Amino acid sequence: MAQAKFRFSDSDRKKMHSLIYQFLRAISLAFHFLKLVKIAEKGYKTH
Amino acid sequence: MAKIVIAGSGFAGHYAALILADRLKGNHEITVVTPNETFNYIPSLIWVGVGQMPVEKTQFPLKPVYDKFGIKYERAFLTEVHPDDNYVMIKPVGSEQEKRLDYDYLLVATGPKLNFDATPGLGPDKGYTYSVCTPPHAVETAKAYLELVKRLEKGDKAKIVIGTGHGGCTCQGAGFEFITNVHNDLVDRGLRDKVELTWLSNEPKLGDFGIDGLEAKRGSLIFTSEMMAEAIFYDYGINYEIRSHVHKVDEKKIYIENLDGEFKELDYDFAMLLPPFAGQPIKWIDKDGNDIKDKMCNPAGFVKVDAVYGKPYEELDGPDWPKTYQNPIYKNIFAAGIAFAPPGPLSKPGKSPNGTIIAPAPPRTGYTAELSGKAAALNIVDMIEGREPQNTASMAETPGLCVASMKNGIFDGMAGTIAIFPVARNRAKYGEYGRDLDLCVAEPGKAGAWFKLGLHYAFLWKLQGKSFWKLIP
Repeated sequence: MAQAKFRFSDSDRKKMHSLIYQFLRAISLAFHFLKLVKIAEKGYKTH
Repeated sequence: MAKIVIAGSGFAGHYAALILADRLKGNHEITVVTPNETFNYIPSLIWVGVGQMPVEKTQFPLKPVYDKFGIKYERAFLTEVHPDDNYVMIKPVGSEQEKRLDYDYLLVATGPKLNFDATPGLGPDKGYTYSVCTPPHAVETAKAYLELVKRLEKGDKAKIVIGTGHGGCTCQGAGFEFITNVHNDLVDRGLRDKVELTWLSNEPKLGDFGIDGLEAKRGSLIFTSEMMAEAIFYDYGINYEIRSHVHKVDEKKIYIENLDGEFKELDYDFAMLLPPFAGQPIKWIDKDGNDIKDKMCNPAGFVKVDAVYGKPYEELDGPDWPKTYQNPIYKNIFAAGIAFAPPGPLSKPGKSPNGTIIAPAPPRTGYTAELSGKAAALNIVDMIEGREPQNTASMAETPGLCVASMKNGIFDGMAGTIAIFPVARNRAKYGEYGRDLDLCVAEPGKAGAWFKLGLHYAFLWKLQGKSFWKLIP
């Protein structure tokens, strides 16, 4: 059975579980999602 | 007054009905044909399947929403389409008497038939495995899983296998969510050391998810979904068998074959394996009574739209993906969501030395289904108002936004936030990777768990047409 090769570093894990870091990432990612939604809606010409 | 029939009440069909009702303001007749009484928010069924969310929280009744929007509602199965004569036959739930429904425009958004029969022994109805594809399946899965938990609490050990139950499956993301949620649930219960957890999938590589994986920039490096999935499986102690087709399942074993032609048998005590999808069993009949399904649908039974069909995987590119979701033969017929026939797979298809095809089908669920449903709805409005269809939502020009839950919770939740642009690689436009890597994201963390919960409530709010629903993308 295969085993995984890539590993998260300790710093990666800290970031994943840090409430403050994740709160800031959530804000940043929310804006990113909205940007992508705007791109998706470019196709709606008679919206 | 135009008559519009929408078959299906999932992300594509239900959202299209709301868009049409909003745009046409009661001047035309909109009818939704669906066997369902409720809208089912499928992405949250993974939490139902581990017993962490009551199924009612993923549903709302359709009739009050359709009454509010002035949409007619037929609780029935679509059985036949007569495109030359512009009518469909429907079979109301609980009745054997079919009924004729005339239309000027038809949107087929029926979702898939869950094709458990493709693998002997697969599925909760005729087989031995569980599924989280429908609310009853997820409830049944939770019951079986919690019974297993009781046995583990008494000291038993168990082997759990989760993933895909056929070489042609799609929606690997849902399986990934389920296995990581099961892992975290077992950790919380202090039972993880009693379970051998195995991921079984038809993906050509880990983290492929049926979308040929994704790459995202991480500083000066390229971080891939394969790396993300590898690292998560390592941290969670999950073994994996990928590139695999399931030949059959019996009470104790899963019989698989991989792309190298190796046959293996996996022991299991509990298995949640997703089925392959097929088109709904709808008859397509022309004016002379001939069966024209071959003309209207691809071999899997999905409805052909404005895609370029027939190209080999290596030649398939962005411009070949459908844009308006209009049928090329009957211009007043559209298909959206899972019901439309894709021009080919997103992931590299493979064949074992024994000739077994192992080729993940492209997912077109959730947000992608909504985008296609909205494009089709707006194109029907265009045609009613005398314009050519101008609205597009090609999977090669639109993003995929996906949050893969690994654990539900505000403070201790975890999920992979995945954004890809575009979903289908478009090398004609974006060169080597076929995607704009500056816009792609693959990131595990608590932020994703918050998004996943937020999306659950936002989608249910929007799709019930509550205040300001149109502001929610």
